Amino acid sequence: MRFLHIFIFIMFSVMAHSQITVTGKVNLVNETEGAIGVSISLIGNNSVGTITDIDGTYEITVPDKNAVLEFSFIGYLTQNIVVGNQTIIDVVLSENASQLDEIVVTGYATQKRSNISGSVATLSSKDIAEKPILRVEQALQGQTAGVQVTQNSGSPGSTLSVRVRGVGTINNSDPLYIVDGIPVEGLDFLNPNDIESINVLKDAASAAIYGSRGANGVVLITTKSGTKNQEGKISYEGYYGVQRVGRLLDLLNASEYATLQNEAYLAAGKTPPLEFANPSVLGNGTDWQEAIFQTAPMSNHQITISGGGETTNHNLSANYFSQDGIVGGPKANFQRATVRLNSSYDVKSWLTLGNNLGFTWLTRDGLTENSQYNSPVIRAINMDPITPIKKADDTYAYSFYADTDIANPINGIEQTHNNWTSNRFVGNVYSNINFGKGFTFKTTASMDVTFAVQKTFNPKYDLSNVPSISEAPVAEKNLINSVGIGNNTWNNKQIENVLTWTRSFNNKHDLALIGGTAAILNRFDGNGGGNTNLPSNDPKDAFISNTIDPASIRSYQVASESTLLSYFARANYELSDKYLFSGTLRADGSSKFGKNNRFGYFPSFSAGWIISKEKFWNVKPISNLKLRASWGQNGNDRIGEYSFSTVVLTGQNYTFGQDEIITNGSVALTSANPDLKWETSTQTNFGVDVELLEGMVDFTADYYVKTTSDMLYAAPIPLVAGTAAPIQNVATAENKGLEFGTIFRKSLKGLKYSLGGNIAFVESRITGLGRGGEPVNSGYVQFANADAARTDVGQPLGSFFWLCYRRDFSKSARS
Amino acid sequence: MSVNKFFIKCAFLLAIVFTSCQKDFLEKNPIIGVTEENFYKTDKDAIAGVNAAYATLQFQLSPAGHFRWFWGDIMSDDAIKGGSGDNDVNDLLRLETFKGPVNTPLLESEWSANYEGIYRANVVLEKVPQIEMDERLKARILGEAKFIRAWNYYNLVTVFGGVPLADKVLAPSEYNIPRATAEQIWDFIEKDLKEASASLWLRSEYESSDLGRITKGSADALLAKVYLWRKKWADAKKVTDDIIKSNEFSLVTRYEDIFTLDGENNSESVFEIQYMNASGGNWGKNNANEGSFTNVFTRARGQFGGFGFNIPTQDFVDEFFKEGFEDPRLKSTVFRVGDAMGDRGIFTIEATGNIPYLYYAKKYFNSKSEEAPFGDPSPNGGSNDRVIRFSDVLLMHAEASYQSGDETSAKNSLNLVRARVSIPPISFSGEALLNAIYRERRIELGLESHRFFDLVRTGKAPEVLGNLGFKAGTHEIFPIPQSQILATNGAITQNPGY
Repeated sequence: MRFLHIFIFIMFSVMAHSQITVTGKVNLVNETEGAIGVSISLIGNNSVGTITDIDGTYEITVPDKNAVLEFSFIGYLTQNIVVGNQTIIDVVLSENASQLDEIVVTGYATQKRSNISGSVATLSSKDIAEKPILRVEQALQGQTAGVQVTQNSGSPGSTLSVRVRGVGTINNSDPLYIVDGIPVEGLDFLNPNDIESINVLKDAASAAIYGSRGANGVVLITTKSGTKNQEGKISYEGYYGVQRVGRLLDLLNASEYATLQNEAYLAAGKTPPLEFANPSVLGNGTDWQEAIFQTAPMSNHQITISGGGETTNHNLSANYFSQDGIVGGPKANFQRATVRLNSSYDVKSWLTLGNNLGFTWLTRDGLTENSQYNSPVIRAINMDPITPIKKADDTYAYSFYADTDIANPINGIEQTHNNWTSNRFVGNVYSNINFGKGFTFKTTASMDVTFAVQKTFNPKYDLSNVPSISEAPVAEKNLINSVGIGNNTWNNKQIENVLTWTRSFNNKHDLALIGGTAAILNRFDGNGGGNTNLPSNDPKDAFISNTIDPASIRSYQVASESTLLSYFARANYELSDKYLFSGTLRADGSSKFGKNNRFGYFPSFSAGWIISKEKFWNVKPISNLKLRASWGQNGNDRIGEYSFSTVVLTGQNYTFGQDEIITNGSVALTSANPDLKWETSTQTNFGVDVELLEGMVDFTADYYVKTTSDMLYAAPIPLVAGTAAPIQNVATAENKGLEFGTIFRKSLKGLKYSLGGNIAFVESRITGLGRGGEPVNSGYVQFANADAARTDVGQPLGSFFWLCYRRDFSKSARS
Repeated sequence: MSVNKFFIKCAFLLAIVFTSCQKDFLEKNPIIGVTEENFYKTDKDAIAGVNAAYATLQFQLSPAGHFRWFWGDIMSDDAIKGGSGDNDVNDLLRLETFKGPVNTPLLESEWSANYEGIYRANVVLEKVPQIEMDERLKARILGEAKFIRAWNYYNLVTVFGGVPLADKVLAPSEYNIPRATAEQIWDFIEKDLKEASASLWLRSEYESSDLGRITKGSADALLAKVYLWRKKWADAKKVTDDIIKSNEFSLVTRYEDIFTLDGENNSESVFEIQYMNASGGNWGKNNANEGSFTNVFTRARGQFGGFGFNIPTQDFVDEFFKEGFEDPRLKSTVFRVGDAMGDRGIFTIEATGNIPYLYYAKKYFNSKSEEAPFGDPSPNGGSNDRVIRFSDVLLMHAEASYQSGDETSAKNSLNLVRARVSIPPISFSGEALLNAIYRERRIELGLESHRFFDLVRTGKAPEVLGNLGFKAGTHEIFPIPQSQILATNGAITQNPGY
């Protein structure tokens, strides 16, 4: 960016009458080689300026001795030097600890940190490289106040949940992810090493430029690109490691288990089982946790080639990552290979063409997770220590003591064959035209295509001791094998046009205007099939055509499309670099809503005041003090297609006739909700940024109130409707929060260290419910045949409701 | 500005104009399936629509399904739950001993299945009248839909009493309608059935490929049942008279043939829910499965591969001997120890896995050879559910005639049913005749999901079921599913006593 700016700058410069020619070399502190690209300009006359060449040397002509040269370089303190009688001026630039010049990506543009009036968190590649991470979301973990990252599962490649400023909706609460300008679902395709920066737009005013989809915050990810005028560089990075579970639960061993069982039987007035008569001889028994957990290897290899010439830059990377599960080992394997090419090319002085292209292949073998009865970990914890893993005949054993839904976890892992393999291309090409006079126009065409195949095979097995009677519980046998395959293609295309105009007047007024359009087409195609009764029980023979029951072969096909058409505009105005104003308006039209409610309008305003730049400010240690305020509205459209209408589906069949002919019936299974409209969130944010001692300490605080209304959710409906629940606008919630973040930086003889911390408080409660004001129940629990969570007025979203029991079991002993 | 730049600029501005002017860009209709607005245009659509309403008749088990013999037989003195023990569908044990839980998926499923049927019938009744098509066919389809709606309300009113009355497709704002009274529901059923009867075809007017569709006779027979419930004896007598005189139905010669595969949709079938043994799939709603759970649920355990539910009681079996001989219908109704269970072997206690039941229900038994050749046969019992048979119509006629003071007609119809199985005619009169009609119903229609409702309808339930815990004034109807009271924020109220 900086370079582009300077080239343009030179293009428009006028030859001045030279009086003194100054030359010299610029070095960066603690570095021996000269610094390339340091900007040197004449104070008071913007038209005179140059940059250092590849050796760090420069030459500039100034009008007279009184001329003052400004040496500036990003990340370093700017120096002003009076020319005087010198003709050779060598400069050593020292580092700037202050983050005020940090470039923040704000959506369709960038801004200096100092001039941001919203609430935006930034992570650079340095922050990301500091800790080893396997997934992009982990980079955000603990780094930013108000961004909560939770791991839902320990299995390799599983998704992390990211929540910006708490859970604001009962609908999908994932933030909107934008990678190099492309809206994407999920981040598992991204190689963390490829990331240049992550910016999280937390408040509504910042996210408003993404309108209908910004209600849960926006995570903007920029991938690495090369640098101009840089020699080609090849680097390799790799690691190999092993993982092991940190701590096992302290469970009963066999003799302890038998002792407790005996007590329970006696308390119930029943005779304890004979085999528990002498608990001590049972010893430790089976440690099911030891049985399922194992040491799992993981490895990562990355090659990066980057560089750039006068007019081009490129960054090419290839990465391979593999990880086994600590449960299931290779049965939970995750592998990812990525290739990325980011490059840009200044075709003309006014035209830049570029691309960000990424390809990802990933494959994942999945075990059951987070399931009440079926995941290996739940089974290992609930399985009794009496039951051995295998019987004497080397087949797997089942338990006589545990709940019949708790099956042998080792057998369960062995019988699971579930693979997901996807090939995904996410990329864009763009052209950026600089018309001069501050006008630029950028057109970007992007595409996100995923081809994914899911394969499952359920082999035939029976853990019964006497297979002819098949006495084992249902969970311990599968008498009919089956295979299933599903092909899924997601094809998302976007065309985006952005016109930008930036202008400074009288060294006082800085104005930046952005206007643009975006059109998105999302299409999903799925098809698949399955069978039962395969002659072979070998997963290698698991094909749909391979069955003795051809009538069992079935197939399906699904397809859906949705579109989003957007218009957006933003104005940023900075007065004397002290008073900051910003306003945004976005209009989004979505095919997911009915004609009457198709378009949503999302405005926002924000303002900032940098008090420390005022003349009256004389509190020296506080080098920067900024107050911020913002208000804005965002939307959430994360619902399925065609929800406003009802789709009549075939397959509701009945049998007629003496020959029993299955005859088609058609009906809509979900009722329509033509009044369906956008979920809207309105957020007001107040913030303060404080910088002490030129960047040694940064402190940020934010307070916000976020109201989410017309939440979209297929809330359960009374069965009298006779249909599945339609998506409705069900509830209104309010989230209030406080966020604090601080960082302390120090540089000691080239050793830089920093210490940071952040804390956030969020209070969430439901303020209104739709329809008749019924609470919305969710979180079905199988064994209770009831929902565990309730969304009700005055309570946080999805609060757990429990009956309280207090009972002294020792005194109520009875059969 | 160079010419070059100018053109590029214009090109991009045009691009903006094009993206923004594409009006159709935001018009997205389903790729697979059609929206309701674009469906219901032809007679084929009308038939597909009413077929989807028929599909709900087949629904069984959770989350939406009918449990006709759970209520009709197990709740009565004819059968007990059975299964592997008390914990096998324990809710059913609690219900049959009248200690019923108010939160059971069984009642919730029954409720749900009926309202799904009502919704689909309502869709047909709203959409089909606008279709331009053959008027006679249209009238029939509307009649079928009205019958299906009435049938679902009949289930609801007999199981739950007064329920919310959805006489059209409900909008989200109407989901919380409170319960109508039982009288209002009965009135509504009566009206639907009268209209259905007027527009439905006679059984003989249908093609053989349409066998299994609702006929004018079906509507009249259900109407007769409604009249009996409402004690409208003269109306009941008239409508059953009409059915008899229509000559559309006749008793099958051999009683034991009624429940065979060949006996499906036979000459005495007035209303029969169709099932078949197609392979694959699973029970329940919203899939293409056509099988019944009744076969596997009522078959003995052990080598017979069933779940052993609906176990006939000794009291029920004894009823067959009360005339001093073994009623010939017993061997078609109940398996006794030593009987051959089709091609699955001889019934011994050992062969059933040592579960000490002496009897099993026989009417919906199927041999192994009648199962689908592949796949899991369990969910795919092929036996049709004989809901209303002509003998039921004759017995309704007998009851209505008796109550209207026409004992001759009563005896005449009753003895037609008895003559079919070659047992002596009844010559009693007065209350003895009425009790003979009731007893004939218990035997002739045994284990066909009638008994509990007959006991309630005739007021005999407290006397017969009292020792099981039945309390008059409460247990004539079951509790409203607790989930529905919660889901409507209390707009639906619980039945008294629960």
